[in-house]
Amino acid sequence: MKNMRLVITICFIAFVVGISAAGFLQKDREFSPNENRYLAEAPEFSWEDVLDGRFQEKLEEYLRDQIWGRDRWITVKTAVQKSAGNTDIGGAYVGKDGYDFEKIVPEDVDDSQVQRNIVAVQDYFDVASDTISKDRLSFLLVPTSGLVMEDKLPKNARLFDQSAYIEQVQNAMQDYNFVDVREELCAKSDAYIYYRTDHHWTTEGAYIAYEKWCETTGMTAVSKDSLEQNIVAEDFRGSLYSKILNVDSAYDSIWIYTPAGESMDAVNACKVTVDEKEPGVIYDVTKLAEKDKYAFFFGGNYGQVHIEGSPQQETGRNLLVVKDSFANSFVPLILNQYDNIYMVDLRYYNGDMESYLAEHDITDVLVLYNISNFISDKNLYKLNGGM
Amino acid sequence: MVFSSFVFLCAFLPIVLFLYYISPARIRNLVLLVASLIFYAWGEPVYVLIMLFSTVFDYTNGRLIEYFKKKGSRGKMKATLVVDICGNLGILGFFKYADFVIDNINSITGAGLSLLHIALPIGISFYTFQTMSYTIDVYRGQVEAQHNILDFATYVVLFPQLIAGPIVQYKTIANELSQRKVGLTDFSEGAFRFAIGLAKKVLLANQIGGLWDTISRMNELTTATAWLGAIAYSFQIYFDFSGYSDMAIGLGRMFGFHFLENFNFPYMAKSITEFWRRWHISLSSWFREYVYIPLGGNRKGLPRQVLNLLIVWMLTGLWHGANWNFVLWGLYYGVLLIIEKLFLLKLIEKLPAWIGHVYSLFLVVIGWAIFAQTDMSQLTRFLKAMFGIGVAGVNSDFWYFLSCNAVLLIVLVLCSMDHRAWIGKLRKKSADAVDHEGSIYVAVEQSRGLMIVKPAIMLVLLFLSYAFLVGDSYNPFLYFRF
Repeated sequence: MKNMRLVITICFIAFVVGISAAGFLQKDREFSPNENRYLAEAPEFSWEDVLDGRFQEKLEEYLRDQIWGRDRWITVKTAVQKSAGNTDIGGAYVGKDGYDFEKIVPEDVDDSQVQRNIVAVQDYFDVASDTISKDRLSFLLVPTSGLVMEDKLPKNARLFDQSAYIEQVQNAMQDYNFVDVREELCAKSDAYIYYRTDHHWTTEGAYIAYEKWCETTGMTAVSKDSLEQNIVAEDFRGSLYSKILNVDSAYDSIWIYTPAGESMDAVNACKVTVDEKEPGVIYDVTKLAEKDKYAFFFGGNYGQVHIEGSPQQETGRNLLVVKDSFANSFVPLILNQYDNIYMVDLRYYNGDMESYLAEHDITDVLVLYNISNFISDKNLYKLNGGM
Repeated sequence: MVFSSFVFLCAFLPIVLFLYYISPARIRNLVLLVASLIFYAWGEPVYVLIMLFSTVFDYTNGRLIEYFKKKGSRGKMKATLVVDICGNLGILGFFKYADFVIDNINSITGAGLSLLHIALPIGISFYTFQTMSYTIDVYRGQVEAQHNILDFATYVVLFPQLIAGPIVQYKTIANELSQRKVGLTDFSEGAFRFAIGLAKKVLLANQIGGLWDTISRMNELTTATAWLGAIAYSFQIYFDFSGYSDMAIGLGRMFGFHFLENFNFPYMAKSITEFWRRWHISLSSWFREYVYIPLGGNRKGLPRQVLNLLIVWMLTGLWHGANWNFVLWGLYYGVLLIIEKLFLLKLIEKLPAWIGHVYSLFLVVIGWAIFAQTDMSQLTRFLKAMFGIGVAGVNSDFWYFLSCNAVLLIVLVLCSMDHRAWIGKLRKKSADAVDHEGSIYVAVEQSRGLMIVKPAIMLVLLFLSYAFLVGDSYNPFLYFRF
C-alpha cells in the first residue's frame, strides 16, 4: 500500500512538473501550420493590464498555445470524441467517406445582416445599370458542401437552411442575372467538386458553375474536351482539417484546367498586379509547399487583383469580380474571355466601388460569394458609397 | 484563477507545492496565505481588498467577542456579533444584490433609479458565509477566537476552497490551521482526488455543457430536445460543481487540510429531502445551523416550521444569484420539501425504490431548468417546451444530439452512480459498512485491489483532461453569480 502511495505521489508530481517544464523549455512557435493560425506570444507585463485582467487572460492563452506537444493533445482529444461517436468536433462536422463539413447552424445566421447584404448588392447593381446593361450584371452564389454533398453529412446534422437564403437572394435579383448552381452541382455530387478537408470547391466545382454562368449570361463556355487536367498537389489538408485535427484525415488533391497543350507557365504569363503595385501570379506554386495550399490560386486573397486577360482577339470587355475566396479557383477559367479582369475583395479593399466602374471602364460585373460568407459578411456596405 | 486552467496547472500549483514543502513548518501558513492572495487577485486584482477588509473585520470581531465574554458583558458580545453579521451581509448585499433591488424598485414604482453596475466579486458568497460561521461559533462558544491573524487570514483566503466552495466552517479546520501533518497517504489521496475532480470538470461537465449551451440558444425547441437540454445541464452542474469540490478537497489534503465532503451522489436520491442531504452539503448544513435552527426549526409547531422552511429556501435560492429564477428555484424546493415533510416522504418510503428515483430525478431536472435560465421569458418558453406546449415532440435535431452524445451520456449515468458500493462488494463488504468510517471515500482509499491501478487511472485522467483543456475552448466558470 505504502509503495503504491509513493508511486501515485511521484506520478502526479512528474506529470504536472514535467509538462510544465517541457513547455517552458521548448522554443515558442509563432505559427501553427496544422491549425493554420498564429499562436499567442508571451504577454508583456504591465500593471494596467493586470488590473483589468487582460494580462491574466493573455497569459492563459499563451500557456495553452505554447504547451508542449500542442498538436498531439488536440489529436488525442479529437480521437476520443470521434471514438465516442461524436461527429461535431472543433466547430465542424466529421462526415462520411473522409468528408468534413462547415458547421453553420440556424442560430449563427443574423437575418438582418443578410437583408443588409442583399440590399447592398441590389443597390450596387441599380447604380451600375445606369451605364452597364442589366444582363451583364450577374450574381453567382455558391452553396456549401453541406447542401451539395448532403449524403456525406453525418445523419441529421444541423445546418442552416441555405436553399431558403439562396432563394431569398434570387428573388431580390430578378432584374439581373442570378446564377443558381445548386441543381448542376447536386447532379454531380458524386464527382470531386468540393475538397474533403477544406470548405472550398475544387476546380471541378468551379468549372460546373462556370458552365452555368456562361449559359445564364449568354456566353459560350470552353468545353472540357479542349482542357487538360493538371494535378498540382495531392497532400492538401485544408481549413476543416485545421479545425478538427483528425490524425487519420484524408488528403485532398488540387488540380487546374489549362487549355490543351498549354502548361501552367503559359497561363502564368498573364500579367497580374496586386493592389495596384505588386506583381502577382495566377498560380502561386510556392504556396503548395505551405499548409494552406488553396492559396495556390492567386497566392491568397488581396484587396484588388488586376489581371490582363488572354483572349484570342480584343473583346472590349472588362470584368469586375466582387468576390470571396471561392472566386480564386473560378477566375482562372475565364481568363481568355476578357481584356481585363479586376477582382475586388471587400474584406481588404476600401476604395469607392461606384466610381470604380467608370475608372476601370468596367463592362461586366460578377458578384461571386459562397452563401455562408455572403450571409455573414460585414463588408458589403462598402459597395454603396465606399469609405 | 480557476483550477482547470494552465496558469494553475503549469505554473501556480507546481510552484506553490514546491515553496510550501521547502519551507519550515512555521512559515507554511504564510506561504499559503501569499499564494492564496495571488490566486484570488489573479481573477479579482481590485476586489482582493474587500476580502482583506473582511478578514480584518471578522478577526477583530472575533477578538472583541472573546474579550467581552471574559468580562462577562453579554450585551456587548451580542452587539459585536450583530455588527459583524450586518457588516458581512452588508458587503454581500451591496455587491451582490444592490442592482437587483434597484431594478425591482424601478419596475414596481417606475422610479427610474440608475443601476450601480457593480461587478460581483468572485467567491464573495462563499467567504462571507465562512467568516460569519467563525464569529457566530466564537459567540456560541463552539470555537476559541483565533489570536494569530496570519492563521485566521489563511483560513479565509485558503485557495483550494476560495472561489467555488465547499463552505468550510472554521471549526472544521481550526486545529489544522496551527498544527497539521501531511503524510504520504494524504498527499497521494489528495493528488488522486484532484485528478478525479479535474476529469469530472473537463471531460464530463465541459463536454455535456457544450450540448446545453447549444440547446439553450436554439430558436426551435421540441419537447425531446428541451428535456435533453435540461438533462445535459443537470449533468453539467453536478460534475462541474462536485468536480470543483473534489479538486478543493484534494488540494486541501495535499496541504494537510481535511475538508468535509460536499457531494454524496445526489442523483441517487430517492426523495427531494434525500437529494438535499446529498447536494452541496456544506451549504445546506450552513443554512440549517445558522438560519433554520436559530429561527426555531421544527420546535415551534408545524405552521412555524413551514414558514421557517420557506424562509430558508428562499434565501438558499437567492444565495445562488440575484435573480428571480433563483428565488423561484429555492421556493420550488421549499414547497417540495414541505410537501414531503407533511406526508409524501412516508408514502415514497413504502413504494419500490425505483419510483423514488424517477420521482426525484424528474423534479430535480425541472429544478435545474429553472436554475439555468435567468431570463424569465426564456425560462417560460423552455418550460413550456418541456411540457410539450406549442412545440413538436421530436425532430431530427434531437436525434443528432443524441447520436453525438449517447456514449457520453452513458458514461455520465455510470459516473453518477454510487460506485462505493461496487468497491465495497469487491472487498466483500456490504454497502452500508462502506460508510461507517467517516469519510465517504474510505472504501475507495483502503481498497488494495484498487490501489494497484490507481496510479494508472490518475495518469490517464490527467492526460485526457490536459488533452481536452488544450483542444476544447469550452471551459466555463459556472459560479460567477454565486
